[in-house]
Amino acid sequence: MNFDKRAFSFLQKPRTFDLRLFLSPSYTMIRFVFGCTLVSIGMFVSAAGGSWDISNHLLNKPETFFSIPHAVLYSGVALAIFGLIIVRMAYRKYVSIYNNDSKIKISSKLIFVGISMLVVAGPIDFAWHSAFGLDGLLSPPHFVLLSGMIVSSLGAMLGIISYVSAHDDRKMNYKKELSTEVKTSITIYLPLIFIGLLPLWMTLDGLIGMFSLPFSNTQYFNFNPNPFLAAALATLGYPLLISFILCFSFHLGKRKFGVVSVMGASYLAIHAITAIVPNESLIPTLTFYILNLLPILASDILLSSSANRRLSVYVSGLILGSSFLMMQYPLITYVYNEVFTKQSFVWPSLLSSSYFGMIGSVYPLVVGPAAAMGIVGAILAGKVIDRLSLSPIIECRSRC
Amino acid sequence: MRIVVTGASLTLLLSLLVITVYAQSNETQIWTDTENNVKILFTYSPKNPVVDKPTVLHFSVFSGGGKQVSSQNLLTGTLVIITNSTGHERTFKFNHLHTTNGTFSVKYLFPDSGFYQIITRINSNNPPSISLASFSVIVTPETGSLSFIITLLVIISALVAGVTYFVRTKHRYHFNKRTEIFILIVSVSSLVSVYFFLSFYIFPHLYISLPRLKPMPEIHDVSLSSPVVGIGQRFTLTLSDINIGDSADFQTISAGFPNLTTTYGFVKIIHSDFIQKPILIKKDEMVGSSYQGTGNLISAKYPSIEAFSRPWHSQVTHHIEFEITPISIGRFVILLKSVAFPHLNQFAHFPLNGLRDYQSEFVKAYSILVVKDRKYLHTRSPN
Repeated sequence: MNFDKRAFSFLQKPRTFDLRLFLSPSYTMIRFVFGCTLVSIGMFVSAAGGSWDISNHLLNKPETFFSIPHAVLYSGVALAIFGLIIVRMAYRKYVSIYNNDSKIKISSKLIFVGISMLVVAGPIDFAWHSAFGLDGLLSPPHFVLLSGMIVSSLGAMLGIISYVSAHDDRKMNYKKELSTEVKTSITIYLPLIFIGLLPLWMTLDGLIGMFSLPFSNTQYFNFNPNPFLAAALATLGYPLLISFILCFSFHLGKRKFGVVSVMGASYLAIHAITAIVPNESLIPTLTFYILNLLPILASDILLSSSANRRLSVYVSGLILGSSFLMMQYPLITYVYNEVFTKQSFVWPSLLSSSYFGMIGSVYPLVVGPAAAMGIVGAILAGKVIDRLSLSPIIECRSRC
Repeated sequence: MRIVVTGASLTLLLSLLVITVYAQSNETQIWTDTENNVKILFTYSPKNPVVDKPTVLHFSVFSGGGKQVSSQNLLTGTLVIITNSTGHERTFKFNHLHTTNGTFSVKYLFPDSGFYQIITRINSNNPPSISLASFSVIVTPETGSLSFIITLLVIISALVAGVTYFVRTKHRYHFNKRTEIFILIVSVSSLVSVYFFLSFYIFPHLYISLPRLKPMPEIHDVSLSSPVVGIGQRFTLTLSDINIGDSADFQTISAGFPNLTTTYGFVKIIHSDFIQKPILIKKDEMVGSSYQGTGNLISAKYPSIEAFSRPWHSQVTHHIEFEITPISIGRFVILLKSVAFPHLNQFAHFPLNGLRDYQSEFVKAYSILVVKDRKYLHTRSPN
């Protein structure tokens, strides 16, 4: 097989940053991934702003659209729009030079559709606020906003994954002995995986919260979900999501120890900063929340150490799924409180005492389905990796 | 290795955070009553009160200038100790405490570990004044077993993680497969067991006994621009509301107008520095009662205005000024009250007692005389 070295010049890392080189056709793929990274970071900022906004509404009942969490949210959107422009320009250039890669095409389209939804939903959200006052968590504009964030995050993640898989696939065909170069690429590859997966996790987490938290009853509309359905959704959805994302990150991270722990720790840190720290009465319970690192660490050890892949996947999924109630502290209190006490509202300063008062009675009821969904999530992660045709690459990388 | 060391360090640091929840600070607590120009200092001994052992609670009262009160000033005090450490609220009262030198002490045996709120009322006869103050005491378990258990478990977790990594990387070729699997199972089981034990047994016990915030609203500086007005003439009502207790999630001040059927056109808010906009409650609108918020709704008998802040931090004062135009001759009554939420005890509303309104909540009544013609009042002879 003959390989044109110029075709693979984009794989070469420049010694210093040269803008002309960066803008040259041979670096089209790098620019595409850069754009995807910006979209992911933008969605991460938006999701963090959204989570902070929920806490702000619970604590301070703001009466204006123009609040700091809203500013953070829409700053993320602005960054994502900038990323979209780079993605689209790079994609058009890439298609004109190389073949039309289906993964890159899908990634570009998803990012475009997602950002378009955000751009359309923003002004509608403002108009809704102006007409009906401050809305609850679930409202038509908010649903469109969140859907746009999910689609954009998904597209950005696909773009990042397809860059990495294209990078290693061609390299492995080009050079036989790659151990040094593959190890070098880990320093770029792993952070990209975190940047790609974390916003997707946060936005999907927000979607489950939107349909399970009782924060949508306002003066004009009551979009609050049925309490029992909400509790069922939370019990099944959160464990599935936690287990899927962490096991997926394990597979993408070349099945190395530490990837799951870092991914889980990042999520816990963001959640703690946006949902716990703003509420002064919850700050003493930070120790409890950070303890959630233990099941994540246990799963990481199990997945990376065990030779029996199937058993380690099942047990890890079980561990991660059954710790969802603690990982979703404190907002999960509202979901189960409504079922047990018929009251959807809990005073912010009584949130921790309500949670710890009910944890003993709620957990035995939810641990079974949660553990099962955790296992399902872990199995699903493997299936998705196979579907994305990344398994052979990961197997080869693991041996390097 | 870096991940393991970082993780272990983090968990150890955070366990110290837990221990500091129960750590005692014997700094002197100072309460400043700006309205009466009085400072109350509170200390207790021993530094770390223990369950069922005597603790001396010591109070010193100073005037605003920092001088202890004079011997001519007789102070009488009432002390209420409130705790919710066992899940039920319990109170203990000390009555008729007297002092002429501005200091007094009591001995008390704390029956359980947890958080205690000490509420003090100091009556002074020269000048006559009443000061309310709130202090707190945290009582640790006798043996400190809880913090000991947490520290031990955290050390176990760190050791397990370290051993696992050590076996995997340094000595993997010295152990056979079976031993490796055994170590793996033990390490994962230990981590998971520690996690669930802490999450379901230790931390719930720890956090349920944490103090609940106890806000204490107080209305002061109520002033009416005139005690008498002519019909159709306007007068202003100015008042301030302060939270002299812990931060409230939500605190409201309500002005009810039983002489009116609507506030529209008759009551105007001239100035308000509350965080949120005041709301107008119309007659027959559904409102909460008996300090239960929306838990017990009844129909409003007369219109009112509620100004509120969410949250309302400790020692923060908000002001509001109304312009009112009475429409009928006679006594024009305004009923004022302030309620803090969560409403957990009898100090979370103001006034503490007295007249009750239709919501079964205590109110303080203010009134002015509305006459046909204000000039008529001045020229009329006493006979």
